[in-house]
Amino acid sequence: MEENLKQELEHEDSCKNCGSNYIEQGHSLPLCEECRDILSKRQFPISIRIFLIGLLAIIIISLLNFPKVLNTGITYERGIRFEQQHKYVSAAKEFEKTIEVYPDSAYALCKLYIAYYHNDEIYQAMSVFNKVVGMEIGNEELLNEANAVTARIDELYLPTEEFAKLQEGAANDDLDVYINKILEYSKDNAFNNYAKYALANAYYDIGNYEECRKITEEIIKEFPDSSMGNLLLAAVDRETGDFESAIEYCNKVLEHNTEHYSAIAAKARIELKRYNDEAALKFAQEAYNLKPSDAYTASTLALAYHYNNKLEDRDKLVEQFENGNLQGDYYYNMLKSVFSGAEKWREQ
Amino acid sequence: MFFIPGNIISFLTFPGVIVHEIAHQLFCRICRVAVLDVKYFAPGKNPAGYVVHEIPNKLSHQALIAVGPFFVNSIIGVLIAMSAIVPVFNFDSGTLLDYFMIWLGVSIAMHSFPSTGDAKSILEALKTMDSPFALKLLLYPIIGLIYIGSYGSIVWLDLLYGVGISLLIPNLIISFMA
Repeated sequence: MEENLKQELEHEDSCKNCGSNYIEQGHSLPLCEECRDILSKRQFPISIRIFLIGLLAIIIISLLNFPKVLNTGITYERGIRFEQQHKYVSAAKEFEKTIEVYPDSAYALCKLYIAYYHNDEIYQAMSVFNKVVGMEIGNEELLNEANAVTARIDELYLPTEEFAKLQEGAANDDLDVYINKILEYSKDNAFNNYAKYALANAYYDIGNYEECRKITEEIIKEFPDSSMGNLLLAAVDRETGDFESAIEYCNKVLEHNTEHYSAIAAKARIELKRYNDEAALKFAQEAYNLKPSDAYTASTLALAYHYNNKLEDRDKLVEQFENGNLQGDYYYNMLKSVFSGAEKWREQ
Repeated sequence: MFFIPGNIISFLTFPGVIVHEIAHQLFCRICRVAVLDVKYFAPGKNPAGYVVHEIPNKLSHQALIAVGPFFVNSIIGVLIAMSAIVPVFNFDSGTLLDYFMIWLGVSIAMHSFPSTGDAKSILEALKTMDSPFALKLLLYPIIGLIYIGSYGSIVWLDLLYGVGISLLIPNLIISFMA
């Protein structure tokens, strides 16, 4: 009996796996250290090891890709925030960077398209439009916004086929002849706001500010936030001496896009006209910093340098036109005549 | 409500089942708890996978082993899906590899929830073991959450969790750093 009891006790205190008497304490299942090692560190079968190696490889791929994905995500998010702040030049820059990484992203292309529109960069907008047209856009709000922009561009920025032919044919005509052709055209053809704007612009160029104002106000009535309409009225008011009204038209544009560089440059020109040359230089620099490649902002800055007696800086900008870095014969010729004294841009 | 039998879901998301069982086994290894049997994935069976281990002596070990998959599956799921989810959801511009990684990541993440069996084992241990009151206070709500997660799978809570956490983490990082 004692033998049986002894055996029983030994059996309870012995390793359940190998029978050893040296049990590792602190566990419910009596096991020796070696057996506990084996059982707690149970080997994975080959198939599971292969699975884990595959998983590890995929995790490594994901980690390697993540910095690029994260940076692009941040860029896109910044673009959206700039958009919410109505800073469409900055927004466009961020969306351009996004497109570099994801050139087929319908969302990013749409956002860029809309930003270009708000910057009046219609050529760039149409170039993006050609990429995104036909793509499926899952975001209905974004799709509606893009469609609204397309309708606006169609109405305000694109000529009908017939009007485009008229403009082509009148390329070398005097402005009076061109204006008469447009007036003839308007009698028998659909006269969309693009054509109206072309006519208003022509009137402005010949100094007929009243006719220009009349037509532009028609455009503004239908499209109160039209930047080109508001800026044309600003120019008319500038030339007729109503500077406060001119500034107001510029500010209307800036309400929708605080980085509308043409509007900021227009304010610079208004300030130059009323001899606030220092303020003009600030606006001109701000506009130029937003878009150094734009001929209007560059020529405005050149004017501001000229009237602030910063002639070296002025000449550097003029050089940009001469060596082809800036495209805009109209602005270059205007600057040359103003700086040579052939044209009086303002009284002194 | 769109109902798909659990064994079909397990089959479609089998990597998650395997990682879930590996997670249990891993924490057994850490706690030096003997593992007696493992089935990583049994197609068509219920449960689809299991780990049979000795009853841990400590409540903390029991809890770690039971809850381990929540951390392991969530972390691995997010690590895999995070670089793919942004191109697909934010930019609508995913490649085949991106979609594969989303499937893999979400499959793993959606098997993060411990099972009701795991909850029962913690509950049993709470009743029988001596432990600090604070630990007991922590574990009862966790048991509740496990049951919610488990029964919530009927209404796709596990899938929502898998997709949600994979989307949330990278987008939170993006929002913070933008």
